[in-house]
Amino acid sequence: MLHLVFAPGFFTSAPVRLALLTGGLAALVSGAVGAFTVLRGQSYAGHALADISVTGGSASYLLGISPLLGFAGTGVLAAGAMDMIGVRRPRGRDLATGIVRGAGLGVAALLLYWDTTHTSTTGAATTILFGSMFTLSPSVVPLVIGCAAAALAIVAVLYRPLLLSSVSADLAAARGIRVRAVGLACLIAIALAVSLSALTIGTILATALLVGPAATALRITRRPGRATILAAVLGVAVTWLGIVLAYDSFTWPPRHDGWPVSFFVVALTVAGYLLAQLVRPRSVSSPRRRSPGPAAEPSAAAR
Amino acid sequence: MPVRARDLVGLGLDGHRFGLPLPSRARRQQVDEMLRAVDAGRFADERVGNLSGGEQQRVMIAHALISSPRLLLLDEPLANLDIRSAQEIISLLARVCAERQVAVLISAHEINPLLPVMDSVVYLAGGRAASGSTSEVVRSEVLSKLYGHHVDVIRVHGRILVVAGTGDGLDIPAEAGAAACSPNSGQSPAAGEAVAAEDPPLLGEQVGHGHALGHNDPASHSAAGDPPGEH
Repeated sequence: MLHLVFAPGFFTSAPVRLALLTGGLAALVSGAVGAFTVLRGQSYAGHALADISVTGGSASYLLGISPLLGFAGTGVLAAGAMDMIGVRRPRGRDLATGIVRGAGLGVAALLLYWDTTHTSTTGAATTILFGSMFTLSPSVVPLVIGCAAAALAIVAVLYRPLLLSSVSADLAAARGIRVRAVGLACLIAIALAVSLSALTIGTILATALLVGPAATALRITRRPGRATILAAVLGVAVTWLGIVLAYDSFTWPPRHDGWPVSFFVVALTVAGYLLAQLVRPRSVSSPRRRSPGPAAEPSAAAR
Repeated sequence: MPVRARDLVGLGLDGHRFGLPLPSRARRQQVDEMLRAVDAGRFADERVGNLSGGEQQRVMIAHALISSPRLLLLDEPLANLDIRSAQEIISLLARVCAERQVAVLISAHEINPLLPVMDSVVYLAGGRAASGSTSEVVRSEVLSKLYGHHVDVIRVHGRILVVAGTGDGLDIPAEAGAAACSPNSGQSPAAGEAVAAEDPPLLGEQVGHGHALGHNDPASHSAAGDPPGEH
């Protein structure tokens, strides 16, 4: 019976175990950090950081280092550049993000070209853009755990200052919060989260795992704390389910060659978001009590 | 702003702290009590972004007051509020801040809604200033001199109102202008605009650049104007 869901060999396959671990961690971090990304209205910055990590990823193939090191390295550098250009000012935010993203992708175009022409790595571009959860090297695990721990630590330590400064930078500053430092730390956490997702489902799709579960969770609950936990749980759920489906798809007709796991993860994320749209947001307040307005007075006087 | 009113008020207590917040009954009670004090209990679980301007201002005041400050600095707290909401916010501020022994310093362009609750004022206009108690400063002679233009201070319905003068001969009945500007008249704002339209040069000056200094002494709230019913 269980074999209908989990194809034979699922739990004993080393690549599957590695995918469950790294994919799960990446999704957990992306969900939790994603909740703040959505709360702070920084989805575009998150997407840009994921795009920019293409540059580091393609450089890592030339340098022969772990792709995650490349993703995270460029992501954190780009976060710093965005902060310096002025990501904290609402008017300068899209501008700073766009400039850094454009510059990064320009370099990525060159590096990806070199990857395909100067190295023996075939499919580097596809791996960088769309991920390769089943072909990860076990040596990446310590780095994955380190990046995940750093991103989660930022969110946990700065939970309340992040929340308050996302509501209003003025209120946060009035409370003595260093709004700029908190914003930079948040960008770094976002960069780490999308780097992890870039490793598992690809740089292009990392935004889906950052924004999708978080947007779904914020649709379901109003509580920021619950939304953060729910986003992380949803992210892990779609990732693990995606891995199961991708593994099963090797037995699917007509070609029996398996579908990409990234496709399933993103498809499930979008499906989850669309399902959440069916949920009517609860209105907690009873119909608004209003004292009779001035407009009511003339009619009362007429009677 | 996708956080609830309750969350924002709670962040007024410990928003600057590091680490994850631990659920605490005492904290929750304190937040509930603060929300009730500003009449925000019924929308405590609504997202702040979904609230009206007046409701948001109540939540902001609760956010500021929950940490028991001794001084509250408010920059244009009535901006973008309709006259009813503005009056509600002002009477709320006067009541809550008197209860909690909080001094309030408000900067404002629109002085009329503040007059019933102000204790003292620093009135800035035309590069000069006049300061003192409200009854000393908010007088026709003082304000006219400050603006270099005739300004009437009118008493109506137990309130005092600052209205740009009609010294240039374009006569507008003082009562019409006063009624239109009265915070509790309930008239449409269009009537108030009509006053300004008849006297274009005063558009920017009509209510002046007033900087009102309030204090938490409830006894002196009526010092600026006559008690209701005595006009």
